[in-house]
Order: sequence, then structure tokens, then C-alpha cells
Amino acid sequence: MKEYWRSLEDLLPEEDASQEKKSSVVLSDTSESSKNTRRDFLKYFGFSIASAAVLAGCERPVKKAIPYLIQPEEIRPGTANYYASTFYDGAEMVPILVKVRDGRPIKIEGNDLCQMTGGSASARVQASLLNLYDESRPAQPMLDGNPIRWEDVDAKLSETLAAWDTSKEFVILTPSIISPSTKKLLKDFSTKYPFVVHETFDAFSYSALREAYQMSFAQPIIPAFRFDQAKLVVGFNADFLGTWLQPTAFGRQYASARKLTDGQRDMMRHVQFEATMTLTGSNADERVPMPAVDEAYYLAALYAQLAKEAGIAVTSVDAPQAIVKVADELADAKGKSLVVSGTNDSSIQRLVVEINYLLENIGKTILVDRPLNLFQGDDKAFDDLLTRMENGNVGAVMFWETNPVYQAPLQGRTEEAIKKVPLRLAVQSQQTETALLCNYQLPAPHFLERWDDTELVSGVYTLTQPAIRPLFKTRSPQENLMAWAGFEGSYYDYIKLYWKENIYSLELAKGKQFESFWKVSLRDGIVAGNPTSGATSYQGADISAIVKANAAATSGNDLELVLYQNVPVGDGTLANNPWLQELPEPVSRVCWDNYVSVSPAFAALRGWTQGDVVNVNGIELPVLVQPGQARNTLSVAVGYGRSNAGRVASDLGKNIYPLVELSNGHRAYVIPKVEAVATGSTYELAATQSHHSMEGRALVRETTIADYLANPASGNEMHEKVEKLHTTLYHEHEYKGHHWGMVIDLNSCIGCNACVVACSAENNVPVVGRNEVRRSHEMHWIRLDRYYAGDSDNPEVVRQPVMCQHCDNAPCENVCPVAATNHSSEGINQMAYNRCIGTRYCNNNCPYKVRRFNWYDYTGADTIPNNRVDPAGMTLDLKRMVLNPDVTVRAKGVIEKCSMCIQRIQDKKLNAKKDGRQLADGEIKTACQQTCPADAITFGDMNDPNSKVSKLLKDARQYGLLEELHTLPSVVYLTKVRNKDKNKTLS
Amino acid sequence: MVKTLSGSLWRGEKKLKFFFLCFALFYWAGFTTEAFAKKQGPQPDVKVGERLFYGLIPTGEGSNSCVSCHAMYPADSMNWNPSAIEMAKVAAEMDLATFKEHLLTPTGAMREKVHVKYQLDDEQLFHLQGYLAELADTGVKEQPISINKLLIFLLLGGLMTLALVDIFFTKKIPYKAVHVLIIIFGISFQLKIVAHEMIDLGRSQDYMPDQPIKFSHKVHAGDNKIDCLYCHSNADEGKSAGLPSAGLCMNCHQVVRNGSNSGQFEIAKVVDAYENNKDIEWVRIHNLPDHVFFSHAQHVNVGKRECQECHGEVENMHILKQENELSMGWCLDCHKKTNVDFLDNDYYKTFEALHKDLAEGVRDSIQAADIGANDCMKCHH
Repeated sequence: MKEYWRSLEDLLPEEDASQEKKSSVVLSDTSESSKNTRRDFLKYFGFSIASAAVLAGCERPVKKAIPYLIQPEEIRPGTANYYASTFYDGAEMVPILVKVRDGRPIKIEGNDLCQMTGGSASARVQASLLNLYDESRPAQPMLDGNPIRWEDVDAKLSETLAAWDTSKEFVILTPSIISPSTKKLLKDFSTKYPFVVHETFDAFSYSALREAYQMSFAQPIIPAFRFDQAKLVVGFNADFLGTWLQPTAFGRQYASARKLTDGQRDMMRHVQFEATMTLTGSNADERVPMPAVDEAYYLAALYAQLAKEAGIAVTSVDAPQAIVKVADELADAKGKSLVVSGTNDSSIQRLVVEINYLLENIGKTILVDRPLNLFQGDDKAFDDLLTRMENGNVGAVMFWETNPVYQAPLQGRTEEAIKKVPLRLAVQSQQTETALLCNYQLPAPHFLERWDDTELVSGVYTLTQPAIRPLFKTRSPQENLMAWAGFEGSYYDYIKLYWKENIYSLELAKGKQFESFWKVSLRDGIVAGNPTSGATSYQGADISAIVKANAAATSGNDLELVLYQNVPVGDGTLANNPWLQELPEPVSRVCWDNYVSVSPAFAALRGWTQGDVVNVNGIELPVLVQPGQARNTLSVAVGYGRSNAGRVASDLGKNIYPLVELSNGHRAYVIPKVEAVATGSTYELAATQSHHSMEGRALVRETTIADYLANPASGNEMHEKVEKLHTTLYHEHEYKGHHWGMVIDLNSCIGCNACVVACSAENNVPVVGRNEVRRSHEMHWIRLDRYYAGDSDNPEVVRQPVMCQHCDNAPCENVCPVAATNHSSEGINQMAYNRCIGTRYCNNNCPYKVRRFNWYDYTGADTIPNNRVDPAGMTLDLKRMVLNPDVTVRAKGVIEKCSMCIQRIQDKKLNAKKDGRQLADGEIKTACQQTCPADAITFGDMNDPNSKVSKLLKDARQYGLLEELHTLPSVVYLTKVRNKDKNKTLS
Repeated sequence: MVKTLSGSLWRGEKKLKFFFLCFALFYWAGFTTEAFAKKQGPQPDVKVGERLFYGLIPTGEGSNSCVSCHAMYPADSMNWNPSAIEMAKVAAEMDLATFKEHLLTPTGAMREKVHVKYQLDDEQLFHLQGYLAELADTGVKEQPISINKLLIFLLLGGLMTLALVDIFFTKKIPYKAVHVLIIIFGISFQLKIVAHEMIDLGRSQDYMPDQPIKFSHKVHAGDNKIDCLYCHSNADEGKSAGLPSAGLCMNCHQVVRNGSNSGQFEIAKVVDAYENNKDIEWVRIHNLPDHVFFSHAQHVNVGKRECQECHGEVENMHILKQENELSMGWCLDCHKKTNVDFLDNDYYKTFEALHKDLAEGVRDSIQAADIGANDCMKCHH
């Protein structure tokens, strides 16, 4: 058995740093309530008895019940409706279903009609719901700091446009527009006003990728990637499971190609070369730390190897050993491999395109004829725009959900250029740094409040429909344009007309009337038709110069800095979101901050330890020692340090975007040379990493593909032994009907954390804030434990989702003095909150540490105001609208934990009973299972021999967490299998 | 002792006189300033209006006082007439001529019969309307609290104190058993009251609040035999039974505008709400705590329970009242006693072992509690 370690402190036991850190937490800084003394307690106690006595004689508050005047046909009180819509934040697009209860959107789920995502959704998609109820959203139109009415805005701007000096441009700066209707509207608008120029700005730039395809395929496209068609994936600094392009879709493809269930015995192999330890790298079968500045050299070497084999004359490159081996593997998997890079550098991207061409992957794992419409921004065009602004050619600029001042400050150049534009409009659904520079603040609705459509790839259309009336005085940017141009009707009418003229006519409708086609499209949310774009073919490109220029390694002793998007916050657009900020970063397990990751070797060299604050080119950040980090690489996540984002995200972490510069016309997120010096101060990061330590027991079991094929139980030999030892004094539970169980395939789980946010949204899990996380008070019902194994410079990583295991012999149940937690007749370990008196005995007796105690009132359920700790505004009436009315909001002093989404079980059971039929397998989906892109979680009835769960329980890979304790968990794990030859490793 | 008592009474009388004097002064001062403030026109004498309303000034031979029909406070039985406050709100909006017409020559069978005996002159009407306008403005005063358990509780306390005083100091009663009995009885009765109050904390059995419209379930569900599910259709499908929308009421009341008991007044409220987009704010009677998730569909649709099993004989209630205590014990007891429709609903095929028991005659029926109805998380998510 491998020796796993959870963090560097485990590996170096002599330095008991974590212990010291913990005791240094100041207990009194969280709230006034911690000043409560025993005397206060007695006061409250006495008061509550007295008030109970008084209350007994008083009348209860009168509750009103106000029915509809005219009941809408589709609304039934207490029953949720689901509306198909689309999430698009300028980066990822995911078709969704919005769960609306009594007029309030309370949950987002993936639309299962979408083949690309299969009904899954990422953490950010799940969390975007909370941005709807963000109290810091701009609430009404403003002109130079004064409130103004929409009619006056329209009057003024129509007048301005009518009297426009046509020598000046009116620039509309949007994120990549994937809506065909909006594209047409922009065209119509600029036809009416010819001086209008539409420019695209992506928060995080992918422009080098488009340029590379421009060079080789004569069209600036981003092709569709098919990880599921590949047998070998080689990633270079591309976090395609976490943030790159379409992480939800890629995660799904990736996991499906690596599954070993349903008789599948073939598994995709994944090799990752990277500088930062990313989510994707931590999933790789083999991972090679590589300095980011050497990426071009590694790729040039790989190209040279492959070219040599293909008989193409090219400068010979002295290849690193790992590249030589990978080149051989790739050559063996022609047409079934995929090489991707996430670096925004045209040389690198051009090398990758050519490598894939040599590997005959075009048309197989890379589909150039169905390009993605995402990330249309061109950094060179943006540079040109700034120049035009500086030269005074731009008379007005409208920032349509774009924030270049924050995401592309370019040493203050962007801000200075914007200030030279006389008329500046901010059309934003959230507060932005750019809006502070604008004359007009025109609030836009959240995407759940407005109409839109998308065309992600040619021929696949989705609709975005409002699930609630706008909460504030907002108007969508499209409606603005229509009002200023004097177009008739609403944007809804415009979309409908566009669909009637363009999509309906594509014979998608199959003989239907348009109205019925429209209604079906709206119900489904997604319409798949035939792609209309023409074929794109390889034009040939000479990259010998690039190979020559990168024929040798450039990394030396200089420190390089890599800026990356982390999984929770991404590019920072949705940063003002408590759910996302509370979500631990999948690798480091740190939340509520960004930090500078350094390799253990480099940290030792400089004498830095975790939490030391260092100054990186003028930006002070705490150090996180990250095993697997390339030796001289520092990494910092973008998306933090917002100065004007709203209550939650403002001044959280540090903004690293100011270090981004244009390099060869593209925004470069790798800075080859930086200075970093310790400042002498320290900062405690809120990390969930060294919490809940399981003390190195055999929790994650692992094997290699060869061993697995030889013996399916390999790595899991212990299970059989433990099974033989089971004896008990307790009576076994008898389950007469259902016996709910869950199987988690560790080979599928990619650790994206989508389940964590889905669970929080479904079960009203509180947000506790940075200080409480530091005190190990985080409340997530499901966590993704991450363990390292092997060499700290390049460790192997495994991870394991852990929630309440619903043990049949539950240690928690025996110790509860008030029977608040006990076993249900369906095998669920139940928790009755209103019975719990908060002894926390159960918490102490749980070997899995999955029970959570409400140290304070985090969600406003409590009547005593001093009990409240609310760092993120979650007790505001507006944010409380997101609460699921089917789940109790817990008050201070009670334990809570995973309930296996009992409200969903009850709901589906009731449906079956009403229909008078048996429950179908797979009908009940827990929130974590529903959103999982990797399909790693299966839930079902273990009493039903034909259920998927029962079948998986027969898999030789199955084992229970800490099964040697004979807790008989109802949650079962399947061994992780690594596609790696123990005798032939890359490094 | 008697002397001192009368002395104190007398002093009290003196104090009272002084108080009255002050009050009168203040009242006069207040009245005059008010009179100065409102210069235009004669002002109604609200006091006279109030006396007229309560029938303290004769309103015509054989006529009832206004308040005898238009009650100030809700009662235990249905009073079909509009309440005083409702009348006041309507009257406050009228000019004197309309008010006179409505009061003395009303339309509608009920009012014609009752109001015919009223003989009021214009001045009296003026005062009466003034009073009603003020009532509409200030609202009904809080209902005087009737004697309740608290008084008994305090009386017992006093009695026990007397017994204690007597046992140690005054020693008037020679038999100690009397004191002991009094104390034992007092304490046990007090404990009983406390225990009942505590059990009832958060419960509201027999809750019977006044509703904005005098809607009678007896008239609708009893006399006219309208099915419960016609109005509460959601009970069959959803968690909550739902209240009918005003639109649904209008299905019948588009035509039925004159109630046999209430005349036009109550039905007119529904029509007004429907036509003028006004909410009807019903008072919720059956309330469960926030941590209880009860589903009507489970009980009505699946369990095939009659509404009356929980809600009582609603079809005989003019004023709706919470019949049962709706406590957890009450729920669990019913689950233990109630048979499940085990053979007809295919959902229950999942419970194979229990089906076997039934087939083999080990047991003749399956109760809800046998299949987990009393699990905590069935109702407490």
C-alpha cells in the first residue's frame, strides 16, 4: 500500500506548524457573540423561561394566507416548476433547468436534453443562482452619480445618437456574443447608426488559440475537442477539467473515456505537463512538472520528434526524456490522441495545432468543421481599440457586461484610454471596476431575469428565458439598443422573429406550425439541427522558425510567474458570490483568498513556510507550499482583489491582473521573470486541508490498469479480509422496503467540486466565512478529500468525495442522548434538527467527520440576534430568497449533515405512489449526483437487485470507507485505477 | 380595620375627584384647541354618535341598537351582519344624504326588515356618521380580556398564601389537615395549569379567528354540497391544499350575488377583490411549525384520507376552527392505527416481505407506521 500524505505538515512531522497556527487563531474576532459569558447565558436562559411563560398567555402572531386573484394554470403552491434556460457568463455555456418554487428560482440543474453536458453543471453554473439575489447589484439607472429614469436615459441617448459626429466611433464592447439574435441586433443597430463599432473583449483571453487555427486552417476558429474519442490525452498547462474552454463538457467526456464500469475495459490515458498543480494535472495518470517558460521548448521537441518520424525536415531538438517517451506513445495512438495547451501564446498554440495535425487528430478528436463560438475576442483588436481611444477617435464606449479595467488593466493604459472617451456607458448586471469610470450606469438584469438565445456550435441553439421578474429597475442591453434605435417591440419579440425567420426555416420544425415549434423549443430549451458552416481544411503552415527559436530550454534560475483561473472564482466575473468564495480550491483546499503557490524545494531554499507573506513584483501575497509545483514557478490565481465588486468579493485576496502584459499581441498569463521577497509578516489562509485528518489509513484504494485487468480486486485485497472478520453484537437492521445506497466511482471523480455547490444550494448549507473556516467550522455536507502520495516534488494525487456514510451500525446514533439522530426504515441515518440539543457527541463519535455543528446562526433562522455570524450577507431577506423551502434552515446549536437529499426521495416516492407504480431505478437523483459531470455518483435502492447500485455493489472494486470498523456504510467506493505502467514511467 | 379601610376609600374618592377635575381640564383644553384647528363647519359630537350606536339614546320604537347586529368583536358563533368596523369604513366614505338613504331606506330583504323601525333625525345621523368615521379611523379597541386560567392560578396562589400565613402566624383554623389539603390541592391544580399551558405552547387547537370575509364552510360544503377539492384542488396533487383564487369564487358568484344569510355585503367583497385587484388576506388557521413538511397529496391522494379526519366536520362549521391539536403525538398515533392501501397501489410492491406476511396470513393489515411513516425524516427534512 502506498503511503499517502495529506499535506506537507504530515510529511514533515517534526515541524508541527499546523498545531501552532490553530492555537494562534484569535477566538474573539469573529463577532460580538463570542463575548457572551456564562452570565449572559443565564440571563438568556432566565429570559427565555420568563418569555415562554408570558407567551403562553399571549396570542400567537396571526399568519395571513393570501391566494391568487386568478390562479395561473401552471403554478401549484408548494410544487416546483422547471424552466429550461441557458447559463452563459462570457466564458462557459451550459444549458440548464431552473427550479422555480412559488415564483422564486431556487436551484439550477443541468439540462439533461443536452448531449454535451448530459444534465451536468459546474460549480460556477450552480452558484450563479446566488448572484441573482446579490444585494450589491446595480439597482437603478444613474447618470453621473444621480438616479435617472429609463425614459430620460432613452431620450438623452436617442438625441445623442441622432446628433452624432460621424467622424467618431460609438464602440460597443461586449464579451463573446454567442447569441445569433443579439448578433443580428448589433448588425441592425450599426446599420441604423453606421458609426457604431462592435468590439469583443474576453475576460480571460484565448486569442492565441484562434490565431493558431487562422494560420493553419485560414479561419480563426476554436475547434470542438472530443476527449471521449481519445485514447491518449497529453495536456500542456491546460486545465481542461477545471477552467479551460468548456470544463463541464470536457469533464464529462474525460470521465466517460476512463470508466471501467458496464464492462468497459479500455481506459483513456492522460499525461499532463504543467507548471502549476491544476485540477487537471492532479487527475493525470502521469504528471510531469514543467517550467511554463519551457512549454514552447517541450512542444517544439515533441513536434520535432513526430516530424522526424513523419519524414518532415525540421531542426533537431534535444528533447527531454519524458517528451521522447510521450512522442512514442502518441505515435502509437494516431487519430486517437489529443494534445492541448492552455497557454495564450501563438507559437505554443501553433505547435499544438501542427502536432495534432501530424497525429491525424483533426476530424477525429478535433472537429474543425464544428467550431465553438466561445472566446471570439482578439487581443490585437483590443489593443487597436485602446489606440483609437487614445487618439480621440472614439466618441462613446458602452461596456456591455465587460470589465477591462479590472481584467486587462495593461499598466493603467486601459483606464487612461477610457478616460479619453467623452461618453462612457456601463451596462452591467454586477458592480464592476470599469463602471466606476462611466457616466451612465445602466443596470442589466441577471441572466435568470431576461430573454436570450445561444448558438454554441453551428446548428445547436438554446434559449434563455426569464424565471423571475426583474428584481431591480434593470433592462437588458439588447432592450437598450432597441429603445435607442427606435425598434418596435421587445427583445423577446425580436428573438422570436429571428427564430421564425432563421431557425424555423431550417426545417428543424418538421411540419410544425411556428408557434408549436417555438413552444417545444422553449420547453426543451435546446434545439439541435444541422450545422450550417462550411468545411474548414488544413492549409499547411510552416512552423520551422518556431521550432528553431525554441530548440533549447530557456528556464534557468529565474523565477517565473503563472497566472491561472482557479476552479471556484475563474476570471473573477462571478466573484461576488458567497458560495463560490466558500468553495475550497480543489487542489490547495484554500478558500476566501488567493495566494502564491511555490514548490516545496523552492520554499525550503528561501526558508518560506505556508502563510509567509511575500512581495511578488509589488503585490503582497501569502505563500502556499504546493507539492508538484515546478521548482522555479510561482502561481497566483486571477479573479481576486476586486476593488468594486460588491459586499462579498471587494478587497478579497489580491489582484494579479495588473501584471498581465501584451506579448506578441496576446495577453500573456506567464511572466518569465519576477522578483519575490519575503516581507516578514504572516497571514493565515483559510484552508480545509489539514482539517478532519484521517491519519493515513487505507481510505483511497488504488491500482493500475494492468493489475486491474489481471485481477479486478487488485488494490482492494483488504476488502475481502475485512468482510471475513465482521461480527457484531448488534441486531442487524431489517429493511422491508427500500434500502438507499450510494456508489462513488473514484476512477470517475475528477474533483471539480460541482457537487459541493449543488449540495449547498439544495440543502441550505450555510456560508460561514473566512474566519470560521480558519477555525474548522466549515459547513459543507460533502467534501473532496485530497491526498498526495510519493515524492513531494511530483506527487501522485488522489481524491475522495466524503459525505455522511449512512452507516447501518452508525457510531453517532448510539451516543445521542436525545435520539435526535437515528436510523430510518430505509437505511438513512436521520437527523432531527429540532430535537438536537447540541452535545456534539455524535460529531465526536463519527469516524468520518462528516457531521457539522452550527456554531452560530449563519442563515438567520435564529431569533436571538447575537447568535448571528454573517460574513456574506446570507441573512438578508434578498439572499434568503434562494433557500430551498423543502429543507429546514438550521439555527445555532444543532448538528447537521448529509441527508441523501431526503426531500428528493420523498418527492419522487410520492410521485410513484400517486401514479400507483413502483419507483423506477434512477428516478431519484441526489443533488450531488445530478450535477456531477463525471457521473461518479450513483444512488439507488440496494434492496432492488436490478438497480444500478446493486450491480455496482457486485464490482470487485467496491469497498467501504474505514470498513474495518464495521460501521457498514451505505456509501460505497470503487477503487481508483491509474493508466500507468509501474515499470515504464515517464520521468 | 374596617375604619381604616373606609378611610382609605374616602381618600381614594378625594383622589378620584381631583383626577376627574384634571382630566376635564385637559379634555376641555384639548377640545378647544381642536375646535380652533378645525374651523370649517359644525363638528359631529362623537360621544352622541357613540351613544346612538350603542342604543343608549333611543333610535326609534322597537328598534335594535346598531351594535346588536353590527358587533364590535367577533363571537363564537357566526354573526352574518357586517361588523361594526366594516360598517364604519363604508359609512366614513359616504356623504350624509347617502348615509341617510342607506340607513333609513335600505335595499335588500334583511336590511329592509330591520332598519324600517329606525327614526333618526338629520342631526343624530350626522353625529352617528361622525362616530363611525372616527371608529373607521382609530379602529376597534382591544377586546377586554375575559377571566381565564390566570385568575384561577392567582386565586389559588392567594389561598395557599393565606393557608401558610394561618398555619404559622394567625392560626385561626385548628385543624392542620385543612391547610395541608388546601396547599396540596392548590399546588397540584397550579401544576396542572402550567403543564397544560406548556403542552399547548405553539399549538392552537380550537383556533377560530375572525376572517376578512364571513365565509361559511357550512353554507358551501354543507348546505350546497360543494366538494372540498373543488376549491382546495391542490390537496390532491401538492403539499399544501391551497386556497381558492378569487377567480374560482367568481365561477359561482358571477351569478350568486345575494347570500341567504349574509345578504349582499360579504359577497360584494369577493367581487370587489376580483374586479379591483385587491388581495383577500385570509387568516391562516392550520399552522405547522417550519420544520414540519406535511404533504396533503400523501394523505388525500395516496392515503385516501377524508378531509374531516384531520380538519373536523368542516361542512358543519360556519366559522372555521382548528378541530385537532395537530401535535406530533397526534400524527404518530394516527400512523399507527391507519391501514395502508397495500394491495391496490403498485408502489407498495417494493415491500415484498410484508406482502408475503399478508399472503400467509401472518398479519391482516399493514399500518402506515410499519412502512416507515413515523421515521423522523419523513416529515423533518
